[in-house]
Amino acid sequence: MSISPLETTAADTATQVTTPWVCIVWNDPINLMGYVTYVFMSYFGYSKSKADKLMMDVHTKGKAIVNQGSREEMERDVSAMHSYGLMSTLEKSTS
Amino acid sequence: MRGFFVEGEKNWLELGEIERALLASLLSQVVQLLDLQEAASSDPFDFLNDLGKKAERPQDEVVFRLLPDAYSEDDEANNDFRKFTEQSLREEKITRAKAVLAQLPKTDDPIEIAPDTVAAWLKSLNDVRLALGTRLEITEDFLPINKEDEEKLSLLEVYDWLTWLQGTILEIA
Repeated sequence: MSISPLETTAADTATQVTTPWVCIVWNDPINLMGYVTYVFMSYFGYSKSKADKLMMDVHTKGKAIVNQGSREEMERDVSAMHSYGLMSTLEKSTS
Repeated sequence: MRGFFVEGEKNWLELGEIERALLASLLSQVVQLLDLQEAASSDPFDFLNDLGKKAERPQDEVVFRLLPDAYSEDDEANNDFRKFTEQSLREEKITRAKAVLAQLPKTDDPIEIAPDTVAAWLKSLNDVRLALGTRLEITEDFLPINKEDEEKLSLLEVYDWLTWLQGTILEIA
C-alpha cells in the first residue's frame, strides 16, 4: 500500500522529463512557398520531399510541427526560424 | 535586369541603376527599423531607461514581424525569451543587411556572388520583403489597396519586384 504514491510520483517525474517540446511553423501570407521549403532543407537538413510536405502542411493547414526535442533545442530552432523570417513558436508536445 | 543567375558554374547578380538604389534604400530602412541605438534619442544615458523595456513586444508591426513571439500562449516565457534572444536577433539581421548592402553592385555589370554568401542574401532579401509586405498589409489572397492610392500602388510594384528577385535567388540557392 505505502509504495503506490511513490510509484505515481516516479512515473510523473519520468513523464515530465521525457515530454518533448515541439517547434511549430505557422502559415503567413508573405513568405514564398519555395523559400519555406528552402529553409526546412537548409536548416533541418530535410530531404526535398519531406521539406515540401511540411511546407504544404504549413500552407494548407495553417501550421506544422517541424521538429521535436528538449525545450532548449526547440528554443534554438525557433530562434533560427525567426532569423530566416518564418513565424515559429515552441510548445509542449500534446501527443 | 537578370537578378541572380548562374553562368560558367558561378553565381552572379545583375541589377539596374534604379534596382540598386531601391535595394540599398530598403536594406538601410530595415537596418534603421531594427537598430535601437538609431531609434533612441540623443541622450547618451537614455539606454539606462530602455534596459528594462527591451523584453516588450515591439510596437511597430513591421519590427514585430521581424522579431516575432516564440510562445503563442505564455506571456512570461515569451518575455524571458525576448530578454535573452531579441538583441542578438536584431544584431544578426542588422549585420547581415549591412554586409549585403556593402556587396551591392555599383554598376550595371553583374557581380559574382560567393556561394557562402547566398544564404545571407536570401535571408536579407526576405527581411526586406517581410517588412514591405507587412507595411502593405498583404494578406493570403487579396490586396486591400485602393487603386487611387498611388503611394501604395508603387510600393506594391516594389513588393512584386522583390518577389521576382527572391525567386531568382531561390533558383541558385
